[in-house]
Amino acid sequence: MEKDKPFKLFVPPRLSGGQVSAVKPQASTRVAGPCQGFNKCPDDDFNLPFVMMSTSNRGEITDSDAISQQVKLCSDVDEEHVETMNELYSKLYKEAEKIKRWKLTVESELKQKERKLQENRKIVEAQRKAIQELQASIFENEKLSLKLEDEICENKDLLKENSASRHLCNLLKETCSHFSEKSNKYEHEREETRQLYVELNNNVERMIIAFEELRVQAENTRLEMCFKLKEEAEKVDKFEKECKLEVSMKEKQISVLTIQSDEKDDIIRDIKTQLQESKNKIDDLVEAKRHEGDMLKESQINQEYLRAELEAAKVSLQKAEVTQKSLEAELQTAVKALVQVTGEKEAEVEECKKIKALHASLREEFETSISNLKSLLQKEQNRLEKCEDESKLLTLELRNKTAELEEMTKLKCDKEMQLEELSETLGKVEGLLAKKKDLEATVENLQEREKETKNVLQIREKEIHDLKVQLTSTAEKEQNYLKQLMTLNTDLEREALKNEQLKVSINKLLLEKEQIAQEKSGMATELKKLQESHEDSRKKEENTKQLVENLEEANGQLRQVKTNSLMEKMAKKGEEIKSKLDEREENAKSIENEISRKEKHLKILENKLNNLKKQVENKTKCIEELQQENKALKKKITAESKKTSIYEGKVNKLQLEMENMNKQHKETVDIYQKDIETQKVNENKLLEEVEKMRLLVDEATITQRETDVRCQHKITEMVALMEKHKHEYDKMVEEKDTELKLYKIKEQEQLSSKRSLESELSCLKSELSSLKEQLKAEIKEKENLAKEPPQNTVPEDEKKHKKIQNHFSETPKLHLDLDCASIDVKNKKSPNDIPIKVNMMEKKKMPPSASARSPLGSPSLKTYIIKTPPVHKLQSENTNLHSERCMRKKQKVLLQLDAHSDSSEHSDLLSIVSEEEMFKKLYKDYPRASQIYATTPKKKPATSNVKTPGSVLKLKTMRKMREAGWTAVSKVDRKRKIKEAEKLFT
Amino acid sequence: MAESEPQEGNYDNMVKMVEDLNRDLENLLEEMEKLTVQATWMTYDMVVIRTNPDLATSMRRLEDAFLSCKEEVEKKWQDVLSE
Repeated sequence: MEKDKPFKLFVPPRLSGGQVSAVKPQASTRVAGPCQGFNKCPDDDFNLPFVMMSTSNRGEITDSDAISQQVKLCSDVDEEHVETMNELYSKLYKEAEKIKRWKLTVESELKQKERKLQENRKIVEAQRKAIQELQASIFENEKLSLKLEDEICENKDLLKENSASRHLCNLLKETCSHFSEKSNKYEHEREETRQLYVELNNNVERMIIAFEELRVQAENTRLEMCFKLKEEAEKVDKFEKECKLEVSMKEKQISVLTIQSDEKDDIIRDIKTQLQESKNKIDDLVEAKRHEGDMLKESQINQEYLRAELEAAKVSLQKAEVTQKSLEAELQTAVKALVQVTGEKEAEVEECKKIKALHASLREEFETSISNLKSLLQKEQNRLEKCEDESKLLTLELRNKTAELEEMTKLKCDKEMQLEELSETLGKVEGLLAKKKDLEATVENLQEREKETKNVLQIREKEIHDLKVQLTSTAEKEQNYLKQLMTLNTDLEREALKNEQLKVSINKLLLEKEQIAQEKSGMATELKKLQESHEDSRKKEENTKQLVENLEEANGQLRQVKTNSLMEKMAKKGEEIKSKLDEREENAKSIENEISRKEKHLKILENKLNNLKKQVENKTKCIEELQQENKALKKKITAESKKTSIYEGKVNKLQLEMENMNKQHKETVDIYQKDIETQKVNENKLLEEVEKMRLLVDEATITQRETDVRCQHKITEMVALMEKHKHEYDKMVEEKDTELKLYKIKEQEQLSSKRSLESELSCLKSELSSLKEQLKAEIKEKENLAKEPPQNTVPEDEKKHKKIQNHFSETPKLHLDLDCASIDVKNKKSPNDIPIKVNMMEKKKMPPSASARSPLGSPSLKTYIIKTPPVHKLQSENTNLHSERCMRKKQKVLLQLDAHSDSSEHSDLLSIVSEEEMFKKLYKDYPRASQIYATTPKKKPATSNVKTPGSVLKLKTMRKMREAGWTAVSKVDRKRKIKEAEKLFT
Repeated sequence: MAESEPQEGNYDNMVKMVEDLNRDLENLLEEMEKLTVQATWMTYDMVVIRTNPDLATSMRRLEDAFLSCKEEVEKKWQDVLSE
């Protein structure tokens, strides 16, 4: 099966060609058999190559043609079922032939096929072998395929890996792209950062530069500021110095001004007082003026009386003239006499003249004084408005008086003239003496009246003088007042009013000036008009002259023509012209006169103008001066007002400060008063406390005294108690002394017992020593015996030794116990108070005992002497060592003694052994003793310590007392002990 | 035989794949090398930039300048105040 499959597998695809498909249509109806056979034959695998071979061998072309013809025939048969049978037979024949040929060929082919089969079998075998080989190879191939499959799997894995790697590659690509993008971004950022770093560096450097510049600028500015500050500080210092100087100056000025203001205030007060006085004086003067007015009225009345008398005198003069005429004759007769009289009277008249001259001079002086007074009054008028009216009234009155005086003088002149006339008449009427006498009488009366008038005048002059003096004084005062008042505001206001008035007047004057100027201009225009008219007239004159000349020429011509006829006319006309010329000339003259007048007027007006201008200038100057004065005064007033305001402010401040100070003072005073009150209260409290304290002190003193008394009582009681205690203590000491004595007696008794016991001990020890010597002797004997029969004797000796030891072990124990007890008793009984003394006593006692024992003394006593109790007592702790040493010494001594003693006794040996055993027991016992010794000293300080803290002082006192007592007692004790020792020794 | 043919095609594809992979890998390696080089450069540059002492020195100078300037400014006021 395995072999067939590959064949079947191989054959069909190759033989299923186009021939079969081409043959199948041939196997229709008739040729179906062969066709089928043909068709069946080809089912065998070997037909085709056979056919192919036949066709190829016999006639391939024919076959091919036949086949093609068969194919064509078949197609024709199929198409034309009923064709010619010939053709069919031919064809069948041909086909039979063909079949025959085919049979032959098939037979040949069969043979060939058999051959081929054989060959093919061989081939098959070979192929089988090959197939087997192939199968082996297939196995190998399968193995290989398996391997391949494995490899394919591996390849698939690898593909998967590849895909995964591809995926990874893609991922890597993506990551690379991302990374590249990021790297680009980072590069950009890096570049940006670099640039930023560079910019940063640049900025930092700029900043550094800017900071340095800033620093430099700051330094510069600081330096500039420093310089400026220094300069400004210097300036400020300078300004401060200047200001200080100015302030000092101003302060000085202020002080000066304050002083001045004070002075001015004083002056103003004085001025006010003076003003009041002057007002009073003015009132007085007004009253005096009223009186003077009354006097003037009276004088006027007198004048009227005098006028009436003068009229009467005139009447009388008329009468006297009438009488003079009658008396002229008489006068002529009396001229001579009268010459003399006249001479005399002339002298008198001269005298009168002199008097008159004097009067005139006086009048002149008065007039000058009046003028001065007038001037003063005018000044006063200018300065005082109140006084002006009065002064004007006074001046008017004075003028009236002066007029009256002038009238009086005129009257006097008239009277003088009358007198002269009278003198003349007297000279004429010298004869009329009676009348003369009357006249003289009248003259005398007149003279008297004159005198009276003169007296009145003198009185009035005196009054005037007084008035003048008063006026001058008042004027001076008023001038002073005015000078002082001028500085004040009232004057300023008045001056301002004056200034206004003056301005008004100036304005008026200016208006007048303008009017005058207008008049001047009018006059100038009139003058011009007049001059023009004059010129016109002159021109007219010239014209007329020319006309005259022309007329004269015409006249001459006319004269030549009409001489006579026209001469008259010419003369008439000339006359008329002359008259006209005269008139014109007269008119011109009148005009010239008018011009001259007006020029004079003009000059006058100009003079007036100049005067007015001067006046105006003077007034303006005065006004300016007054204005300057006003300004200066205003400045002063403002300055003084400021100063006054400042001073008022200061005064207010000072008042406020004063008020504050007063308030503070009051407050402080109140506080101090309160403090004083509180302190007073405290004082009272303290005083109360002091009183209390005093009371307490008194009480304390009383208590002190009481306590002193009590203390004294207590002291006395204490002293008594102390004395009692002393007595008690003395008693106690005595009792203790007695007890001590008893104890000492007991001690002595015990010492005596001790000595007896010691004596017993010595006896026992002597016995012991004797026994030891016996023991030694026996031991030596036993040793000698042991040397001779060593084996038998030794155990016996040992037994004996044991027995002896047992015998002797009992006794020495008791002795030693006794010894120890005795020693302990001694040690215990030895008190702390008297260790040394006891020792001393014992030492003192011992030599006699030794001396007492020495005669009794066996050699064992020597050893005993060595064992003196003081050694035990002094060296209590080293007793063991000492005992050992002593014992060794004893042994040595005993051995020496044994060596000396020839007698060898058991007792000696036994004694030695017993002693050794005793010593062994002693060694055992001594620790106990040592313990006891160790315990005893501990107990004693404990007991002493128990006693000490409670009663240290008592012990001290007791010790002292006991020492004091012992000193006395010791002597007694020594005596007693000596006695006792003597007793013992006896 | 049906499997062998696609296998062969696969093989060809495989070869192509492998070749492509190799190429891609080589390209990627080159790219990676470039990138690593770039990264190293970057890091180097960054380190250089970061560890650049100029900035620190410049900052110190700035600080010094600022402190000196501040001292000057404060001195001025102090001096002014003292004066």
